[in-house]
Amino acid sequence: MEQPKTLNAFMLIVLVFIFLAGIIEGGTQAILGFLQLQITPARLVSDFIAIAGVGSTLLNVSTVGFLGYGFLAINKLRLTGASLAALFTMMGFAFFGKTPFNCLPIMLGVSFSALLVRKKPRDYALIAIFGTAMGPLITFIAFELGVKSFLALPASFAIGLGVGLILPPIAIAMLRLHQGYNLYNMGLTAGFLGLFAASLSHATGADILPIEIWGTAHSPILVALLPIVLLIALFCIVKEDPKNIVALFRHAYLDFRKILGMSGRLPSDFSDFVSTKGAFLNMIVLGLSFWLLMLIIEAPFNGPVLGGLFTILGFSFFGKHIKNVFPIVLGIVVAIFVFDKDLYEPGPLLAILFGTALAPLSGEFGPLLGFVAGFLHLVIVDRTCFWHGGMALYNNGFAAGLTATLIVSVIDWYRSSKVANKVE
Amino acid sequence: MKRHDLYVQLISELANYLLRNNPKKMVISLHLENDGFHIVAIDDRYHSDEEIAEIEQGLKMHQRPELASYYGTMLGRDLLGDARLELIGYHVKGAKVEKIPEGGIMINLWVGSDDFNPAMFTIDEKA
Repeated sequence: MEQPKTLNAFMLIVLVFIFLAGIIEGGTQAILGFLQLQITPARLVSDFIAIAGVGSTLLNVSTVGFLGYGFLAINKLRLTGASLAALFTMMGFAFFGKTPFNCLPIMLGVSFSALLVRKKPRDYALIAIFGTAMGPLITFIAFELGVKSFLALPASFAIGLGVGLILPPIAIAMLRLHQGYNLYNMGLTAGFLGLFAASLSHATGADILPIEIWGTAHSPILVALLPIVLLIALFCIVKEDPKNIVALFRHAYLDFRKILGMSGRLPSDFSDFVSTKGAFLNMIVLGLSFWLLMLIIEAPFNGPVLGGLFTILGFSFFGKHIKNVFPIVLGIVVAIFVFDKDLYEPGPLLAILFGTALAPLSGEFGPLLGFVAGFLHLVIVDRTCFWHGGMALYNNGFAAGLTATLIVSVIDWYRSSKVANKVE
Repeated sequence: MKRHDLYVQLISELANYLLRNNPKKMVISLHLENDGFHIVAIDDRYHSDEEIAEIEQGLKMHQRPELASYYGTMLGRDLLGDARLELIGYHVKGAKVEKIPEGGIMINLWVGSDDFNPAMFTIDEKA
């Protein structure tokens, strides 16, 4: 299958971000801030915009995006819905945790893992890109443990390689727990590994203190970032047939309707199953909806919130659409009010954005179950970050994995028992 | 993954798909060759042209190593929810779906290494 050229617009987004980084803070300032981010603790929640400024963070985001794109290119993989989801997630988390420094060892480790079992690194490319969720562990060992640099730097690199080596088997095992009903499977994987990392750190006496760097400053350029990306998506639809815009959008709408009928269970690559233009329209609708929601509730457009919005954009190609995310978000919002949580605290606000990982549950088993899943998700996500000390960036993916496993186990047991009784 | 495991998983997912339509008859056969294998599945239920086109689209997802080695591991194991032909599609080298005179369909799948040539199989020609 030929690679849809419009998906390469991803690189345009990376270039726009580099350009913005340059004009906002000036090249030198942006580079200095970027270098500072490489040595800054990256555990949850470390808002890079609050730490180093907008320009430096955008430079970090585009560098991480370029790293992911380069990794796919080296492995000769075409851009698809799945790889776009991985790249947008990688870029999104570069607003609050991922840096080229902490991503690279993990990506190399996963590639070595593939070679170890006589596969090609391309076979585990998605695991490598999503697996960078463990990045804060590398930064923690290198710069937070208090060990001298000549020991800490090689040790952090070696541990990053080691983490990468064991990620594939764990990720595959975790997938079987929730059977593809948690879109952020690597969140469950990283959270599981993070539990061990945090416990090991505690056992050696190096307790992990929580971090909460959460910017609230208002910046018009950060509010405008998402609409810029959505304009590029709109341009990509038009580019498919500029001479016949009306028919083009009619087809895109019909394809979008088809996407709304899909459950979103892993792996649902909308650009492969339906069409690229339909997937782009889904991205525009979903991205705009969440962007407006954040504007209406007056949420800060800081690093973590932008990270959440970018992750939603990515997964609008790979499992999420407005119909399957709505019941989840509703469940989370109701739980926020029932348990009297503060909507503007990082936990609840990020749960609204990242809890959408449970969208396939709602897509497959109906909105009521989606609502229940969202409700339960908020209850557990409040606790999970403490378990791994913020080492795993996809904390909501971890919580969503646990929620999905609970629900799927019950449904599986109920359905199979009912069928068995009928047969008897 | 052992070759044996792949047979079991492919057959399991395929059977899961066909059985969801409640056929009265289902036959699945496996033919081994040195460098690949051929699976044929037959049922007796009526399938519309649109349905057949959808099955073909699902099965012809093209080989996607990055998906096959990760999400493809759910093939034939996680059977809660709809059967997923695309998981089969990530692994196979060729697929063909056709109506049979008895009223059902016959699904042909070919799996093999890079050197494997599905055209060498005689079963497709006989069909």
